[in-house]
Amino acid sequence: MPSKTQAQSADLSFEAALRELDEVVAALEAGHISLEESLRLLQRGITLADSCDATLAKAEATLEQLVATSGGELTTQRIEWDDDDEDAEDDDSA
Amino acid sequence: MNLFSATEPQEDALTIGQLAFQIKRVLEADPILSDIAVTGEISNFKAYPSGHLYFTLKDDEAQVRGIMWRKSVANLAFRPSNGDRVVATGHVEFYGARGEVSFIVDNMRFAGQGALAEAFERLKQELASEGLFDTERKRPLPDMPRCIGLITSPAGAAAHDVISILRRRWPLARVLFIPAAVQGFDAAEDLMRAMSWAAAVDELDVLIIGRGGGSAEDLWAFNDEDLARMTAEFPKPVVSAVGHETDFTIMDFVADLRAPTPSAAAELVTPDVRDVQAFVGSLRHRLYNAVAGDVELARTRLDSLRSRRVLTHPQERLRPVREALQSQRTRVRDAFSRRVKIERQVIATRRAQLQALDPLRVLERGYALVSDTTTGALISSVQDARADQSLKIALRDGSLAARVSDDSASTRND
Repeated sequence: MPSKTQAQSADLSFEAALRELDEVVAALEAGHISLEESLRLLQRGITLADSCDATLAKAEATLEQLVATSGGELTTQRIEWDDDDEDAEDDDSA
Repeated sequence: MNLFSATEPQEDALTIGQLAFQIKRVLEADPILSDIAVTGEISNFKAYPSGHLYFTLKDDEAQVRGIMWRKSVANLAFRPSNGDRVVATGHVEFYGARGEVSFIVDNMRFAGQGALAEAFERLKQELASEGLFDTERKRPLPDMPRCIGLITSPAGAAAHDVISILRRRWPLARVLFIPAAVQGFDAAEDLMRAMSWAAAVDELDVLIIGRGGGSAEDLWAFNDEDLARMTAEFPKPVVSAVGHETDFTIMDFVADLRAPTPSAAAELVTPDVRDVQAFVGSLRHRLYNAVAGDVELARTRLDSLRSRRVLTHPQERLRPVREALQSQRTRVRDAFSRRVKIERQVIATRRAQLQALDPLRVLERGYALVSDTTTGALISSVQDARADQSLKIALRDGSLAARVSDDSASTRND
């Protein structure tokens, strides 16, 4: 993991960032590394944790419908969320 | 007498067409046969491309041809198959051209829970024996799915419930909704169509397929054998979500995970964002702790270094220093002694020079040195002498004792 860690984190998927953070923590907890390496991993870990928090904070789920075009091709159509989306707990009809 | 009269048509004989018409008229006028419910087992089931269904309804004693026209097929909640014991409602018709009596079916349902269970068990046994339900086949669900497929009816509450729960729990989700018919004769086929669409989406991480609660017939599409096989072959993990907690379908057994209800499926495929946030927080905490631990470790290491021999027994560490010092000292001493030697030579030289000035050396040349015998003070002037003074006269090879006479003093007049 040389330089440009910042840029890499931005490109990382959330799950990849979380996994790497987990690995960084595990490596630090396992010990057997120099103090210098510890501090480098700490920096990396903070970057990853920040990236994870930021991703979760700004994320919003999307809803799409899969439809077939007249040519038979599959494509997706964005559907807007139904905002009076109170949880109706009635799953009784189909 | 007409010889041929016996072979000629008699006036009261009917044509076949007339007979058929008569049969038809009687049969179809019968109030019972025009609207009845019949229990029987289906065999020779055949669905024609035209949309009409042909089959045989039978029991131990008899069999009747059954027909279900396409327009009635739409009433069916499920797709019947051979061996199903059903209650069929409809009326009897006579089709003269083929000389057949048919039971024209408007609708069918299973002949009670027993019949349903039978049909269900039959298929379940078959698929189980093929290993389709084996635990080893079950794939784990992704921890944090990015793309979640949902196959269900656009009309039902299930779609709404699942979608709103997915949205609330997991904001990183991209929900891909694939509407399909979930009940009726064509439902299984439409579900398979939707599934084949879903299979074409590479990004898909997991698929939820299901519907809300309903009658056993309503759920029957999820017991379809072909759909079950397709589910087993689906490239991504499948979560079944059919009906209520107490409803079991073949789909539930073949899916990678059975959710008791559609809402439960939404919760099973997604983590709760709050849990994930808490997890990130805990990792952050452990991160700092681990590094604090490392710093602590470094300090301990430093402490242990301090207590080590080099530091507790510094003389060992100092030995080379001392040795260096020693050799330095030797060199200094050598230098000093050389210096001393030089000084000595200098002194010897000086001494020789001094010796040249030594008064005793002057005596060699015939001079004398006069001093007071008692005080030792040098007498270099007549003024220093007095009468009767005892003098010591030092000469080259010894000294003489002398006494100053009263009138012996004379001053040199230069």
